[in-house]
Amino acid sequence: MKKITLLILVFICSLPLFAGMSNSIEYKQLYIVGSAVKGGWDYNATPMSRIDNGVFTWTGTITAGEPFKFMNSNDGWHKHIVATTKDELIKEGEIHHLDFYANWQLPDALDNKFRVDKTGEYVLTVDLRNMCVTLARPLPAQTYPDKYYVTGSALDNQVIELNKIENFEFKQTLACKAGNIILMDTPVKGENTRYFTPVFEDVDLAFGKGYASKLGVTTDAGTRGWSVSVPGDYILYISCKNNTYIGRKHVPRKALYITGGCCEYPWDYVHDEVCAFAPDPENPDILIWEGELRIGWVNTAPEPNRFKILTDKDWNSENYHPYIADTPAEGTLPIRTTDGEDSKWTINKDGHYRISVNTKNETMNVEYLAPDQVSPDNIYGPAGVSNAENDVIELSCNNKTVELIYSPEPVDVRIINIAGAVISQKAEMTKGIVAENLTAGVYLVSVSGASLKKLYKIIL
Amino acid sequence: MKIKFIVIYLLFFVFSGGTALKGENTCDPKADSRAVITSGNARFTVLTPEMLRIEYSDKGIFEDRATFTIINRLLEVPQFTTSEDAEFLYIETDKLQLKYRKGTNPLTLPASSANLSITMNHNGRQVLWYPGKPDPMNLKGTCRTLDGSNGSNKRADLENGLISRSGWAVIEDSWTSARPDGSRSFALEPDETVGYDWWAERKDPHAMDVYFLGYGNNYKKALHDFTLVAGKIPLPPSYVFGYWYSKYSSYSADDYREIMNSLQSNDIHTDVLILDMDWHWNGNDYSMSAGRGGWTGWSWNTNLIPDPVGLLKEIHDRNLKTALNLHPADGVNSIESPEFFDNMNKTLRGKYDVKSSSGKTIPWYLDYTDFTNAFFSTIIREHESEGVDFWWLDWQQHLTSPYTNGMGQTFWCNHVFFNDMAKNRPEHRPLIFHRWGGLGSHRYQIGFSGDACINFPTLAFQPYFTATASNVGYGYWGHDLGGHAVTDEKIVNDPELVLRWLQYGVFSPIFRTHATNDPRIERQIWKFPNFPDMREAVNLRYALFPYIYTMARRTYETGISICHPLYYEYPDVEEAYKYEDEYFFGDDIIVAPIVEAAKDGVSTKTIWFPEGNWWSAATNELIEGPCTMTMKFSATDIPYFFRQGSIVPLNPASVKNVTEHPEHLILNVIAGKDGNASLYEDDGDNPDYATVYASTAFSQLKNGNKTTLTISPREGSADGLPASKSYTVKAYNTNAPLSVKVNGEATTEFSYDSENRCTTVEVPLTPCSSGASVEIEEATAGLNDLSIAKTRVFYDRSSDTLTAELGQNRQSVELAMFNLAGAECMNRKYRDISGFSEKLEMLPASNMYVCRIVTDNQVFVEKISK
Repeated sequence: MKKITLLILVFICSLPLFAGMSNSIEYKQLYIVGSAVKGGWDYNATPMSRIDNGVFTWTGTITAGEPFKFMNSNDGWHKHIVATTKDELIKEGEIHHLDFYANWQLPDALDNKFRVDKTGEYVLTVDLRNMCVTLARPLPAQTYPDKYYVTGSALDNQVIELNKIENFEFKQTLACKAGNIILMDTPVKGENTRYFTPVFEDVDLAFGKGYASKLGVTTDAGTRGWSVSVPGDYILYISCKNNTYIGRKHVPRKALYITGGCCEYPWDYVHDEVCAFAPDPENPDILIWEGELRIGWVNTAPEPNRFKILTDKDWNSENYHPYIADTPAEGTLPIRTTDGEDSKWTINKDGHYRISVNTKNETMNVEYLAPDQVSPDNIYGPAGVSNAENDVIELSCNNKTVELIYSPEPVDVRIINIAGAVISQKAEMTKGIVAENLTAGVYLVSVSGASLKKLYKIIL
Repeated sequence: MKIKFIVIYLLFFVFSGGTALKGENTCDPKADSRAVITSGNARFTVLTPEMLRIEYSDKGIFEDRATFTIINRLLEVPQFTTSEDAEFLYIETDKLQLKYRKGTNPLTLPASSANLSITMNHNGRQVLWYPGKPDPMNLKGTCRTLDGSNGSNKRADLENGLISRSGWAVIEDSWTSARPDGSRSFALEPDETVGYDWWAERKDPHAMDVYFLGYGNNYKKALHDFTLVAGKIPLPPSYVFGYWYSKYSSYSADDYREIMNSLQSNDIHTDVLILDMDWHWNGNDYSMSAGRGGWTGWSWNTNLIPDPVGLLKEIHDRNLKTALNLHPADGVNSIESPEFFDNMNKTLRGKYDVKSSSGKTIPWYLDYTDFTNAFFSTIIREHESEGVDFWWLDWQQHLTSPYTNGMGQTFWCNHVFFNDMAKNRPEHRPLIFHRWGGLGSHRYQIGFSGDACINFPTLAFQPYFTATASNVGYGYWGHDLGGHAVTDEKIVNDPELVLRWLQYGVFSPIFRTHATNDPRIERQIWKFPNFPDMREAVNLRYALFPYIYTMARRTYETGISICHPLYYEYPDVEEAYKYEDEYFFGDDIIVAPIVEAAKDGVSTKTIWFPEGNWWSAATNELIEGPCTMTMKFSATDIPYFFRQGSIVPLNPASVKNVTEHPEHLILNVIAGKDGNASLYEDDGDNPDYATVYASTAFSQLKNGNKTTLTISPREGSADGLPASKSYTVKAYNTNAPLSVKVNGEATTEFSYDSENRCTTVEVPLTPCSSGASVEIEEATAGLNDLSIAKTRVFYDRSSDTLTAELGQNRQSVELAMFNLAGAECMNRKYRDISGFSEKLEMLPASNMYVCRIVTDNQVFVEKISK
């Protein structure tokens, strides 16, 4: 009961601050804070890598005698993950308990920190599901091969070399039986073969999405590798950059949605009739979209010539996008699903397109079918203000200022940054300053009148 | 050296291959000591051959009290052995082998099998588990809410369920293991001040407390055994299975009267009328309560509803039940509810009284017994006495308590409201309407899924979502049929969308239309141009009630929810996982709802049928499984299919409330195969339904060209049941009858509909204590099979043509011809055909060939001589 009373006091003290706030522990992020680490007391300077739901690791230098603890929120000093005793010494190989408090003004009595007694490189692993932490020394740095081979009983012991997509990632669709998968760096097992292992032994091949799972390295030919519980098609990805892996069981998608600045409803996924793909009746792995794309269909649309593909009606859903930003959408292209960078494809002409996406191979085929009936005024203006001088519109762009020098009719002028935000707009003008004191960067200038519709890209 | 100890106990099985509670409805969280093995700071409890509890406390303190998730550990002790050597302890059941490194924490970081592992056989492979092992193949359970559901965007929110294609699943019941809302599983202890179990801190909050469930593909047993340790899924009162009218709007009392009049005048059977949040002062001009109240409120808005008691009486007089919506998070305010505030404050002696932006407020301290007692005795009792039947809890604020670290507001509201009702209204079954609060919430039914968007893709997600919730025993989700919030004005009142949502609702646990307070949204179904079709759906729901209620009882007994995935029955068949928008509705009906807009007035859907034969109610045909068929449906068609051999009891059209106990029932019999079924009946709201109920068994027996239906004498009794019953037996999949006997006597009281292939027989009023029988003799034995799709292959040597008749349309067909050496000589593929002919001129003559035809999932092989 004493403990309850203490908790009541603690929470009542900070009650007004709690209104509307989450008091819950979160399993999506964790940060180390303290003078023992380089990021110091900046509460989100030292993020840890999530290797499973609620499980995090971090490798770095910890200074002896200096305190550290963990923060669970990225919105301030609110959710504390702390030691259970004051100034708790943690040594290599030990597992220590953790406590969680959601409190904007955590009393010192509860705000317990850890410390180490020897400065050095450590691997910290925190399991929030079991509220414990352990400390280890990092393993020697490993090298990773240029070629990977998979085998195992799930593949009838065939050996398959993984496809490599430039220097981005290895990616391979595997038809698996129930069994296991072994990853190695030689096509034939031998004395010098190295085997690459998941973070969690024998974990299912479908594991890894959303986690930073770095491959382990061993020469033990008896390694279990990954297991496959359910026969079917799997896609295995290995990042060339981080040597992390992701596996997933392929399930044909029933829906995809094209979204972008070149769509009729820019950056929208609501209007199924113009954004939804339809399944290919001949192949469940293929979905097809057919329709019009226009550069800057709507004047105010950010990224007017770009698009990507959503897998659900949710901006946080998995995106289909190119490996290289602004890859022209032409011909057959690989699709990237494993990276958070929000790259898009581009079109360079308006018209009718057919886009076929193979969700199993993660490829996209783009066909340009025919020019559409777009009026010439809707065509994307040539890049650069200097080109605008050839138009009836005269724009000036210097000293961080954009000025409309001349327009034959009243126009609405908008300046849009590359994030898509309208940062300045003037209505019904034939001349005058549109924006001043702009920071350096790339902007779009949309000019729209009764008979004029122009879009210019400017660089300040 | 291995020292081996053998411990063998006798098994007492009540359920096939299962274990049973000691005494119906009794729970004891302390396990039989013979099932417990302690090794240092680790403790293991063998609960079933497939379920082990693993505890580890570095203080050596273990938990024997109930928790939020687990309330019973006293099961019959399964057979198991223990042994140990210098390093390891071994525990072995019929299904599992556990290996524990003595003296260690079973958990390693990162997780590994170094200190503890369990191995088991699954699909012919040895499967390894260790604490913390991730499982991406979990079949998922449910999530707190569908608020914001748009398309399938909530899929990622589904929590892990109790079954997995990996063969194992884990219940993480450690206090440290937060549920997705951040809450924890506290202990539960009896508390005299409230009269039911109250939360308590865990003895060692850092201890590991994990339940390993290694049930392989035996999903149904896993879920049944879960209810042994976590409590049964209660049977809600019967009225919840009727139609609910609900819509958020600032309805006045006269508006409600008009709605009730319209429901009646349009002959829309209804059982529940919901009063959404504007029953109380909400602070808005539009509800005539500006300056008083807000999101939370407890006092009637008498500007809208001047005589609440009178209105509730009128609702009851029309044989409707009602619930009020509650958003309790802001506590009790002195301006919104001055009398309630004063009375509570007096009872609590000002303990929780705090100043707020508007007057004074007693914050929501439901985690404290004095607040809880004062709240229920002051506010809830009064409203109950006014006529409120149950509460719609609508928790939307901070998910865990600001006062008790890790206390889940959703779970705790569920627990307190449900148990308060059980204690204080003992003449009724407890009932709440609230969200999922994590494992254990299945004990507090029913579910309110929340604010989903209005569009077809969101509807399309709900069949999967609802059936998947069965994987955690949460079997009574009630959705906002029609959708809640506008995403696209063009479809907000699309008659087709609303109809399809309503048709899906017929085959969902709770049949309730609802939407938000948006004048653009219409939920008065009588105002839609296709209202007759919508009413047809309502009528079907009322017809199905005896079957639905019987299946709800089955849920209570088995832990298998009414809507459940196909893979429960067909775990080894990939299609059972792939066709995730199909599901079982009870034991005998498969539903594949239409969840897309029609094209040119026709909805096309590809449906997988499992092994067995299935009677299509929409198209009146018997479909032979396993197969995949692409079928076409009109706007009024609902793709649902009866299992051959099933006997489904239905209400007659005269039933307007599901609480009625009619003297006449319809029995839908799908003839051609032996089968058994039953009808469950009770008072409808008696809390002692575990023992006070009646059951009538049905069976059908096929013998040559005779089908005999037997209605057994009713067993048991319950208030309000008729002493005698008459039946209309509708035997589908029959040929024209030669003769019909009722109770052994020839009768002419029958008819035959050749289009539906249905023989209808009237069974006169018969005492339920004596049973009845119907014998139908058909014109020709075995003619039933004519409708069953069969593949037939003919080779006409004169024209050198191979002809195949596939019996029904097949989506995918492959023909392959092999010579006797096994070499493939010819291959053809076809789509969407019911037969084909092929010239075989390219095959050398005077040879034998093997012809293999693969149609969807069927393989047909025939030899031909050329």
